[in-house]
Amino acid sequence: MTTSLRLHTDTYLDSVVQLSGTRAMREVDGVQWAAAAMATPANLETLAGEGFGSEQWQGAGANDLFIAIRGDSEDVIEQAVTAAERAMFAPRGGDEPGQGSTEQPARTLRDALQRAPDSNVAVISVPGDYAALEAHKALTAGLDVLLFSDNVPRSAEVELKQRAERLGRLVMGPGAGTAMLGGTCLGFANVTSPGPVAVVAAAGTGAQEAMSLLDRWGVGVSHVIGLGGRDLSREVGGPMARTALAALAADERTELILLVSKPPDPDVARAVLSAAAGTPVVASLIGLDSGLDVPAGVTQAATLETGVVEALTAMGRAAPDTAAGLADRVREVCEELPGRRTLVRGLYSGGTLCYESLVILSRMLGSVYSNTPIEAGTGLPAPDGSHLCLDLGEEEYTQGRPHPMIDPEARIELLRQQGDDPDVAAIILDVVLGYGAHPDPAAELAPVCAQISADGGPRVVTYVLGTEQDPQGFAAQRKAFSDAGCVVTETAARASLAAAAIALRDPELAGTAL
Amino acid sequence: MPGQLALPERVDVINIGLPMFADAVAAQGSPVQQVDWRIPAGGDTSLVAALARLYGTAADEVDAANAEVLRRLDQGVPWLVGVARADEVVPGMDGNTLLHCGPAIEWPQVCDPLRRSMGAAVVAEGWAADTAQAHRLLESGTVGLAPANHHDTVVPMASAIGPSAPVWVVDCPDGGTRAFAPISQGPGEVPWFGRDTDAAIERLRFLRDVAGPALRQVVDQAGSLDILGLAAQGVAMGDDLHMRTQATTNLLIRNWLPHLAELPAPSRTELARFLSGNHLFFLTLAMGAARSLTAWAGQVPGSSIVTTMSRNGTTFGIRLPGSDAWYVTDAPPVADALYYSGYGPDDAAPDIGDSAVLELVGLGGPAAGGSPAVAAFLGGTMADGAAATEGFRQICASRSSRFTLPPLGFSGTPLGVDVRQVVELGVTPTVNTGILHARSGAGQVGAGVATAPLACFVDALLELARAR
Repeated sequence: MTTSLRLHTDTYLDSVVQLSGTRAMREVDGVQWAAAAMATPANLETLAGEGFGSEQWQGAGANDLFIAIRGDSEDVIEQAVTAAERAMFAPRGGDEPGQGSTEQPARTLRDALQRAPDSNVAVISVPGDYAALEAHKALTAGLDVLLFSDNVPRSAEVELKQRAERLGRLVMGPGAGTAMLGGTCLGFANVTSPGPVAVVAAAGTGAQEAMSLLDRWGVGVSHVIGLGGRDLSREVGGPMARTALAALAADERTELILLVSKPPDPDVARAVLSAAAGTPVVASLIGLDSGLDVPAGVTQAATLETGVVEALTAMGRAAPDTAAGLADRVREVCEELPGRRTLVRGLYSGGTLCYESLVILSRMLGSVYSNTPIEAGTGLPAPDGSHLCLDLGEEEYTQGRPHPMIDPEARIELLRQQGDDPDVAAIILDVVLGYGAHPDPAAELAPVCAQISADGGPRVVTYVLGTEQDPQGFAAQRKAFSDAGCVVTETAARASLAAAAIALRDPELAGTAL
Repeated sequence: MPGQLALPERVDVINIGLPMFADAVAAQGSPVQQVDWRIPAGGDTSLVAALARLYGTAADEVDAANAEVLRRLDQGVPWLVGVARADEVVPGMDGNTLLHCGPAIEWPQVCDPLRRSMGAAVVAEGWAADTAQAHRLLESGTVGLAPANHHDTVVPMASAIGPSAPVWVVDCPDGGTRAFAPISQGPGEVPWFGRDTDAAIERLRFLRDVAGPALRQVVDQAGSLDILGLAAQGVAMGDDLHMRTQATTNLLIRNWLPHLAELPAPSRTELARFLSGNHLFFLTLAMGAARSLTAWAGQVPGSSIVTTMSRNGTTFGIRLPGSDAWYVTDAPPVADALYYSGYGPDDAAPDIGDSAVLELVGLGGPAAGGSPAVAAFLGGTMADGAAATEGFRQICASRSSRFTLPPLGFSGTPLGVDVRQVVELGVTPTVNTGILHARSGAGQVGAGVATAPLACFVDALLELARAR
């Protein structure tokens, strides 16, 4: 056994790129342990724990990259280093932002502002430990902030948002992946036509589902504002939701506000909703059992689909029949499916979509186990013979690999694994399109769907979240999954209903009114 | 009272983190700047928290204080108003004390070159017959020590001055501040290079008995001099005013020429000989001017702009405005050094002197990009000088409107070292400086670049954040 540690000084790589290097090394036969990471105090501690000696990284600091390997031989180490360097440093197409600029990129927000003094929004996706600092600097410079970073302490969030509210600025996040301001998508977002409905959402895929449905159903979107999952909690108190609703109420283009969230703290919700000041609001509070006490002019809904339907209704427009033909399609599937296949598996890339699926499935099927359980006692590991719904965007599945929306590899592994389970009837896949997502997810996922459902295997129920204007193209993606034999639904909620209907061999359930 | 958010009509994005988000914005045709981000403050969480406070909730107060500090550093006009014996003008200069460079220090910790310089000063004052006796007086405390900075005075390299030393008197009327600096000792066997030979002691007597009185007459006759106005012309002519003061020195002598001519013999010729061999003559004038500005700027509380930066060969210290507190750490070695033949790193004393006050007002390192001589020293091309200026640009809050650099598009030199930027980036000021022999009294043995130690900037930042 031998170890090696190499330093690339003054080389910062984003964590996903570090992870691609780590993965490349661990795939080399004979590598026992490997990591490519920045030489932060915490990472150096990890190295020490792995038996590396501090003399190997003398003088290294947080902006030096190390490649550390423990492997069977010098040969193995050489192979692993080559693999890591190829994965991390090989030129990648389309990575250079801006138009053909040859000057050195800005090293700080301050530098960037000197070059582009009219900047008005900062998109921040640095590691959580440093995110609040960058966000504060952006607020000080008068910018609105989309804070994609996770792992920002709640106290830091509260301080940031209270400051933003005082300043009349937005801090969208932390953990906010989606926004659309001034007609430009930020983060993971879908391309929509302009329209009169604004979306304010606690989480990313909830916002994406709402904006996509509004576009596909012909209404269009004025703005999309992300809040971060904790904004409407008692501890944070909804400062950004308040700020957003007040701004949208004053916005000429916005006629209705669609608020998307898990059930919020009731007092916070009441206070926040009153900020809409007479502008109609549909509150899509996923999984809400009984209505909240809300101000006049606020309509409540319990799924993403019904929220958008209510928005259309409030504007005097007809909503499409989201269940059209679905029961017949489920009936075909049920006829082909072996009798012992009775379980549902949700393999989600979108957290809000997973949450909504858990709500819907558990109403139809009883207990559904999850890494993000909605009721006590349904966490992992799940007992044999239970239904399972996983949020693959959570940390335990993204350690060492990119998010499943960006790279389907991890999901394909699980898809194959579940395809081999003789008791599984239906597997739900959400396929998210738009900016930030994989350029052609169907090309990776659809062939696997076709393979596993052949010869009496489980059926894949797919929901494609997106719009025709998305770079991937909505119709083409849907067609690829249809052609692969998947059941393709009109909304995320319908995918859960269809899967439950297949599991219970009760096709009519797919048309259940939501 | 919450502010009202106005939703933007269009977005112009700065992306900090994953490049894919910038790509997506660019693909939609909106402007975007990608930041090539680095982990701040070496990833130290307590420093990141302090930075978040000072760039965040406390930013308005700090930025307001900084704006005033920067205004004073940039807009104050220091005037040379006279030459006098230190004990005539320097406040608190009592009869048996030497003023020395750098933070406060006790005799046992004083480095060899500064000990020699102190000994020479004691002999020149007439307090001791020779340097051995002088050292005994210093060791016993009979002759006391005080940092020149505590007496509105700045002294270069390993300088120590006694009550009889002649000093420049510099007034900044905008702020009502007055500062002092000794007359440059010139090259050769001189105490400020850590020499204590008879010739070195004789130089101090010459300054006191000949150069001081003669220059006093010249300044009295020539009238007040706008020191930095002259320096600004010198910067445009390739001076950085720290390593090279050639152009400005020549301008000064030209200005004074009629009054020099009127001096009585023999001091006229003796002073002329001294001036003609002293290419760093303007250095201490620039330092005194800088000190009068930092004295004014240093009265603003709550700022993150450094207003004292100074070394005594043993320790390195900085101060922030509004407080007398020093943040002190070990003096750094002088790196990237060029040594005179026969000398090497083993012979080098650590960085020393108060001259780094120049780097705080936009001279020295910040002006390197305009100085062919400094660029040649740093590596040989003008790009090396520009890189030194760029290093300060990263850590300075503003630009000088007084000093501009022709090779860099007449841009103002970086002004106002901000501890927030220093700690965030882990980049400290660099000072181009001479290297003195650590032990032998051989004087200057080379020159190099001293990089300020980060620790004292970290301490200053934490204290500033704690006070918010």
